[in-house]
Amino acid sequence: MIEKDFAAYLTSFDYDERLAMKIQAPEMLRLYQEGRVQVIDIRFTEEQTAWQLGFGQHIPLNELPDRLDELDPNKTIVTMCPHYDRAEIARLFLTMKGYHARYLTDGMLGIANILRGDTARDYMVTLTEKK
Amino acid sequence: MSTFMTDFARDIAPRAMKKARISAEGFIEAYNNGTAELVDIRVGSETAVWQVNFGLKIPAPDLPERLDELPKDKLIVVACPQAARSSMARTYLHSQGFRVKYLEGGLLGLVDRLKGGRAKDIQL
Repeated sequence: MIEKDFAAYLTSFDYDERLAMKIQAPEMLRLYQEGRVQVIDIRFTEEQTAWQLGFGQHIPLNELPDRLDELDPNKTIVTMCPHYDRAEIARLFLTMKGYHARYLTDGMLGIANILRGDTARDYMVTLTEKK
Repeated sequence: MSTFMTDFARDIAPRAMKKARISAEGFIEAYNNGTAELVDIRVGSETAVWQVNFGLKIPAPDLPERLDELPKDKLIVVACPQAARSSMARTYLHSQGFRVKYLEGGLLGLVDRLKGGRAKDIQL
């Protein structure tokens, strides 16, 4: 992986990057179905103990530096937390490390809100069909 | 019309609502005291998408056949994403003689409450 220089990244930060660093739930769910993104829950362990998504991987933010080998360099890494503030820290770190990373703007609470009732059923059906 | 439903309807008033629902805060306290049990009444495809890692999972349509799985010695707190289905489930279980409330703010409110260091507030 080719690491980025933080100062150089900030100097080149523009409107395109401002959009590119984010991903909204509908696009994430679609790309995940297509196997094009790796989804990482970066919450603390006790948060994951309380509740979790039925897909994606859990790597706590403070373990991320030591667990980069679990990330697929050929996929976009989508970082997520309850809202988005910690996910953005993770996204920035991974970007500096040379990964293509985006953070989930809707957060895990947004995913939980979107995937209810028939929407949850339809999404899980398509995930199963892919496998 | 059954007596239960008639009496139930007469009790639909602001002063009676605290008998029917419990806040996330109130639930966490009761759960930690061992006096309440959570029942996630979402259907299977919903609990496959995301899971609360405590309490029971009994889809609302299965409740009539699975009443024997509910604790008799605890307050039952039924929950769905928000409160539409859980309110109906609460009414049903109430009609079956259970001590039951629905979770105000739903599971979404509960998991929002359990974020960051506050996730430790529930003793698992």
